[in-house]
Amino acid sequence: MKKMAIKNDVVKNLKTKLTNNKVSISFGNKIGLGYDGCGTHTHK
Amino acid sequence: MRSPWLSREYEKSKDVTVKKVQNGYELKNKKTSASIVLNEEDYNKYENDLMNEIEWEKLFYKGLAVDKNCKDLVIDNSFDISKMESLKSKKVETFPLKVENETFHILINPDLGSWMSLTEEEYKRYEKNELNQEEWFSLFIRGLAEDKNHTEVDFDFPIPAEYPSVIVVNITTGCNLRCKYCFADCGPFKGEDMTEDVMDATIDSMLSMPQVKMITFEFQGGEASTNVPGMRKFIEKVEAVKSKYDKLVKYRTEINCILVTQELIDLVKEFNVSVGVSLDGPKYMTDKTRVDINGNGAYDRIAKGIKKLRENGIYIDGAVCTIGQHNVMYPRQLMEYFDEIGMNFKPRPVNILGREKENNLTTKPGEWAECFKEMHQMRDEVDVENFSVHIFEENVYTPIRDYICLRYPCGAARELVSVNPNGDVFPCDGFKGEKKFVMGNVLNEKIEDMLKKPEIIELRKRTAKTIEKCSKCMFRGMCCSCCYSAYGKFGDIYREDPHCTDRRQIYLYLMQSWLKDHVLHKGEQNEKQSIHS
Ligand code: SF4
Ligand code: SF4
Ligand code: SF4
Repeated sequence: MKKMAIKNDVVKNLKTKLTNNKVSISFGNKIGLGYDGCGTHTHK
Repeated sequence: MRSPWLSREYEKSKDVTVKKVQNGYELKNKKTSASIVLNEEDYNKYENDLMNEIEWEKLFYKGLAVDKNCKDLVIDNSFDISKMESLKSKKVETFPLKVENETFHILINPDLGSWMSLTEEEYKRYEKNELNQEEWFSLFIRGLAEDKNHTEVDFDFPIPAEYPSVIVVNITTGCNLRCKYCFADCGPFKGEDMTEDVMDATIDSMLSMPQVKMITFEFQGGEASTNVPGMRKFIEKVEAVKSKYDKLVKYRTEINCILVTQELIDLVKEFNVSVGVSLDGPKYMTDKTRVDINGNGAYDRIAKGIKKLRENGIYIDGAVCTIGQHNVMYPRQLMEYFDEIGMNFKPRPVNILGREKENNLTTKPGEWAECFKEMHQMRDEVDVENFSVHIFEENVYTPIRDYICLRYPCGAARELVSVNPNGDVFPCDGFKGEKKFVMGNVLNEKIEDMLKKPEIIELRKRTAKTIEKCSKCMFRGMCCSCCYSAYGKFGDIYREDPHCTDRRQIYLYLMQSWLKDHVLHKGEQNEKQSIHS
């Protein structure tokens, strides 16, 4: 049985840039937390 | 101040040296010369890794601590927190939240879904604009405060897709069951299989779409397993042409497991088709809704089908577990059941369309939320994944909006489209029985062109702003009203989700749950973790 070890209150791969007029935070991964939904039932 | 939203896992930086100074300890970055003085108490926390996420954050944004998972931090020389003048933002709403005997005050940015909890004392200072610079900064980076000098915060997170990467292929409208809540109103009495010309046109339309690299063909129905030859034909057609297009292709199917034939097993194995099943829990729950034409419960046949799949080495991705009057009062039993059979599952309330409109099996306001809470509380007691717990936690605790049905605009006619056996295309498979929502027919036009029609562009812009209740809701940044469910319930897609009351309760509950575990009972949480690890 594979239970994904996901800590939902930690975001991995957040890139951060702090400058005088802008604080940019971008998310490196395409999908969140290395998780691509729940198989067939990604929706509903 | 405390919040999981935008939190990371921090650790000490190798570039930081510590020096005892008169009023505490000075941490200094050797490379940048940035420094901070911590008093005895805070230094002890730092030394023993006992700081909370907001305390770490103060060090992190000065370059005095690092993110364990991502070293990508650039601090421009021009940046100086002490030059910032933060002030309250008009976008932010506040409300008190009781957790056990404590009252917290939540600041929330409804557009982003970001939030921070303040203690009574912090909130009083916030009201009087008396927060210190670092506290303002923690609010600022979450979009919960503004800067007088117009420094902006810019979040670059994945946004809703413009072109579909999943197409639900309804290979037949026939089904061997007649479930009481079937939103597609399927049953053994009618059935139309997909014709070859529709298959060809669908495949060409999807594979020729230049904007998408990976396409998933998801077979549904009706009941896809009643037309295995159709599935095979479709897949073989894709396999024969896919090398012409520069695409990765995946297959999935969602079946009821009544008819697990050798033919189906061979197909699944040969083409690595992911399999999901529909199952509402143990026999006494499933048999109440998943029935055949004679009203006989299908559980025993489903269980046999699952066993057969597994005996043949087929891994089942998970089960959709539809929640309604037949099982909403048994959250514990549901968790135990799926744990026992070793299957990940996704509980979700009955959507309102098709046969559900006559049978009224969906949950009453508040019932789904109660069920969710109990399942959430026992999430660590089971070894299987409850996808709904994951999805809702992700939306409340993080800025990530992976789940296409819990983010505005939803995935309909964006990540997803659905095609019927006759070639009619719908924005989401939920609409597959509703003529009114046909986007076009693959025999006459490409899906890419259908997406450009004014009514589809309009639908794709269905955000919280376009729905009266949602536009005023504090949780709109972490929610989405299901388009087809709203239509089913109210006859209008521009309405709140039929399970709106439950949604609100779930969001509040998850905030409370986090504060309980991480603020009120932090020590116990650590203990729990160390026992587990
Ligand atoms: S819910 Fe699925 S299995 Fe049940 S009648 Fe509808 S299509 Fe068939
Ligand atoms: S469906 Fe309800 S909870 Fe969700 S955004 Fe709309 S009003 Fe808010
Ligand atoms: S219409 Fe509903 S089920 Fe379909 S993608 Fe949108 S939210 Fe999800």
